[in-house]
Amino acid sequence: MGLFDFLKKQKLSSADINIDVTNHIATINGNSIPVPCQLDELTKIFGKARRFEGGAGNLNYVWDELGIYCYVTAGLKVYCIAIKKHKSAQPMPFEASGTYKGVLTICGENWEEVMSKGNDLEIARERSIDGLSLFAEYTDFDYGDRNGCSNAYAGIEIKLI
Amino acid sequence: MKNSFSESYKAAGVDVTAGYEGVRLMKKDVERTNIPGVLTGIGGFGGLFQLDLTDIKEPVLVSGTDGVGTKLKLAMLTDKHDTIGIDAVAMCVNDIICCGAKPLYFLDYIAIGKNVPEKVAEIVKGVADGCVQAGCALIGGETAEHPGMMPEDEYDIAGYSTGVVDKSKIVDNTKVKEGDIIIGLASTGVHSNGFSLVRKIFDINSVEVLEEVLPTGKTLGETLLAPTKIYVKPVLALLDKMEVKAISHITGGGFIENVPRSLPDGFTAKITKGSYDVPFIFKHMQEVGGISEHDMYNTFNMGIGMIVVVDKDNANDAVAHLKEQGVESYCIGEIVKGEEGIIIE
Repeated sequence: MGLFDFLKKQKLSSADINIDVTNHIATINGNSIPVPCQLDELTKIFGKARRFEGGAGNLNYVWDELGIYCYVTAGLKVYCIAIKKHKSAQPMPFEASGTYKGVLTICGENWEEVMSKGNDLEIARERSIDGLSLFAEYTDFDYGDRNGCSNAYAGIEIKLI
Repeated sequence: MKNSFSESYKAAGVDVTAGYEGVRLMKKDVERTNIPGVLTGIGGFGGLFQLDLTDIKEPVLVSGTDGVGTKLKLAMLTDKHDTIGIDAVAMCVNDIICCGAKPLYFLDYIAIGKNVPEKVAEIVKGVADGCVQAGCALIGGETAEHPGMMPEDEYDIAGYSTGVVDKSKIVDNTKVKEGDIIIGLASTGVHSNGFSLVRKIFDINSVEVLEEVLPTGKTLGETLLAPTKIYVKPVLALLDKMEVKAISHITGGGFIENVPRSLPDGFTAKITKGSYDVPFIFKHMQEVGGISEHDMYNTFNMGIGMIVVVDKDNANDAVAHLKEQGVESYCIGEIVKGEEGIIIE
């Protein structure tokens, strides 16, 4: 690669990213990575991430523009990938600031379809499938408004362990 | 309930499992207030209620809104939040029952420094309890988080209720006449008025003050936080049984301001001291605070949370009927001619 080739390289857009996750492999734009994986595996695909070290001891790497962030152990092993579909009313500092526009499937099935069969926790749905733990909070749930919420999701956490 | 899998909440240090439990309880509490007329599963932005106008020829909707004042401060100091909602409901429905309206539904509004679902669930439980006592549905509510505007631990609560009454059955004061009997329905304590004075009397700035055990065997905190009595069911039952000519909720302004509110011009309520025992807490407050008797009657309910005016011939039946409905009541005075509004002697 020439010195300035990286400047010519187009910036990765989340709309260009397709992800399918199973209990042992994540396929991201045709690249297969083992699950769970090391942070390096994701960095190769998504580029350099923003590092966030939380007060509660959590360590996150965030690809803000892609709407993707992950939770890692001290050894930089990724144990949870979070994909954000809608902006949060009160975003947490380790959340991606952007939203994911690509196609996400879980074990080949549309992720929202997968979650619709999950356990309804009133403010979110959770589901265990094929060794994955999935959690998707409703987009408009508000503890304050007791009239209920629609079943649209703000995003999904895919726990890989 | 099993633990949540949410990593983001864990990372944020939020006890999300407790949060879910709070929401779950809240929903269950709301559901137990459901009565015929509540339309669920549609809307989402507003609470829907279908009116049943069977036997009501000219329906009149009657609405009221109120809060619980600085009684909240005591709930916060004692960290007891499960009854303040009863007070919020009581303050509204006890107002609208005064014209004979049956409360249909209630909505609450909670402004809070930090939205802690478990705490809000406790508050809403009280609201639901109040609605069940009043026989009305909790069809909506809002909890507004006000970070930076209110301290995290503080909150305020208000409510709104609507009821219905047939126009021909509205309790007005047109039939009040000299010689009618005033029946006082016992309160459960200070209810939800006069707490700024209560706090001043006892200098309530810490929970320790509220832990004092009174001669009644209850602590000062328990006594003062006793939820406001909801008179809806016994009063509705009384209205079915006999003609009730006037009703007053003894609310802000105490006995002196509220008893005359339901009387027509030219008539005065003559209240007989000693016709009932003024509860200990009022005597205690008067003594500790050095408050004049007039100011006591002008601020507090003095043991009577509601009065009804009935014909002299019905007075004993009314007291007996109210007792059957679980409310102690007393013939505390009579209607006389005069412009004073109220005479206590």
